[in-house]
Amino acid sequence: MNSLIPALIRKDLQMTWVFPVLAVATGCGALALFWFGSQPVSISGMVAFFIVLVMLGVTPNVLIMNERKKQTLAFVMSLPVSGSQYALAKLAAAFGMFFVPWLLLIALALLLIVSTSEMPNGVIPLFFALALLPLIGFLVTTSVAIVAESDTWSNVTMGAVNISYSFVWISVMAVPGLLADVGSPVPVWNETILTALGIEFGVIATIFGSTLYLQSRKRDFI
Amino acid sequence: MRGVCKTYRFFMLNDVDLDLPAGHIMGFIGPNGAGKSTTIRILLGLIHQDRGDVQVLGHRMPSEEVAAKWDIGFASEDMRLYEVMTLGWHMRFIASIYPAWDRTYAETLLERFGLVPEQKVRGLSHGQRVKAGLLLILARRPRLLVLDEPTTGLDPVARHEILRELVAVVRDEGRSVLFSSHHTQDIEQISDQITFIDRGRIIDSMDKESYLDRWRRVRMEVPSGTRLPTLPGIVKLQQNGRLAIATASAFQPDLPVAYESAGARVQRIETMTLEEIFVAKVEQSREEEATA
Repeated sequence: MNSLIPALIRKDLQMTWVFPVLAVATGCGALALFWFGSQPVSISGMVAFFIVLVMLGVTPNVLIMNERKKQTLAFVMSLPVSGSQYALAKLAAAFGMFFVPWLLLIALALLLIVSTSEMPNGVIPLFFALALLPLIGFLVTTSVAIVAESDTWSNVTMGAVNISYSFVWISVMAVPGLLADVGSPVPVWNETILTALGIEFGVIATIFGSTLYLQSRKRDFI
Repeated sequence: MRGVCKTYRFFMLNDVDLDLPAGHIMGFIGPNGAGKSTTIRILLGLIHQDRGDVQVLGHRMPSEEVAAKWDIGFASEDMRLYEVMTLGWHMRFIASIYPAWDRTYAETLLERFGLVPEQKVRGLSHGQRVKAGLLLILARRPRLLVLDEPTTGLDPVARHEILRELVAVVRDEGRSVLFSSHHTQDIEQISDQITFIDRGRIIDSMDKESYLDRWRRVRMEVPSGTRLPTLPGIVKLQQNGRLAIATASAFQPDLPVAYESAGARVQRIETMTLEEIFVAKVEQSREEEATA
């Protein structure tokens, strides 16, 4: 028999497609402010753009918590699916909900940076390193929602992750190597940037792996 | 199920043995918190047992839960469908998963249950939601139906409709049903096998007719000063002044004779309902547990 994972992913996307569409629309609006606005409006646009990226990471989490809260988990788990397959499907659907609009918005932002003469292309590596942080935040909250199955833990994690963004961004900006080449007319992927990206991708892989591992060791699903 | 145990902080499922032959309907009766839902969830691989063997339709559980669940239809009182989606969406979703989905039968059930596929689940009454859930599992023609208190909270008409449909479904002799409830009337109507569970232990299991045949209540008049003997097969003997009631779990025609020999005058021998048998069995089991 075929795996049910694609069917479960499709189901989640059918029910929640409106959130990523809204996020892309809002993100485009923020980028438009950034592009067309005067300097203060432009800065507001940039801040709004990152807020959209952060919020994008929160919505899939609600999808996971609702499965338990609205008592539809028993319906899904009565289908021919194991706990690990359910987790993989949820993670993939949530990832799709986040990743597609995230990628689209990042691509649009990069396009704007490349096409404007006011912003040097040297900012691209830093922008990329910063834009990966909401992806990590999303994975942390999603994994906790799947593994912990607790509203309290999910909400605490969501709050902690959202609060931590400002600290993490400030800390990242304080790393001299990351800012060294932002004024360059071409992107410079220096050692510090590559190390930061390596750490971020390592964290992403670890979260993915540990979520699936912990879910496979669970003994009770309902 | 053989020797299945599951321990929680405040509850233990203890050494559960359960057999459901193909084509039979087993009524699984127990008070609230007896372990019915835990047993059922272990059966479906949703909860992993600490000890013991579970085989469902030839599949070992929980390791082969995915293969087993292709042929199991499960509905429970606390199971909900997606409120924002329509019943028709749920039907298409299930049909896309199960190759055996019977569209004609699904449409028959829609009509029989008075359901509208375009309606969102949010707008359905409790009875309609239960019917919708049953439609989704019946139309995929599973070999085993596991129903965990499906009639709880339903009005008598809806209960009757659902029970009638279940009876029709199990006319197909290859299909088995495990039906848990504390509504003994529902179970008495449709089951041919009965299992009682209390405080995490199976306290009795046999076919329904044997239960109804073997259990009797004997009402007697006893002359003052006469002490009735404890006879084999009597689970309870209540004596109040000149009146005595003996509850027999293994009634034999020589039982009234034995009481009459002891000086009692048998007034009436009554059959017992499944509910009365269940209550008597639970009380007996708890007394035995207390004295052990």
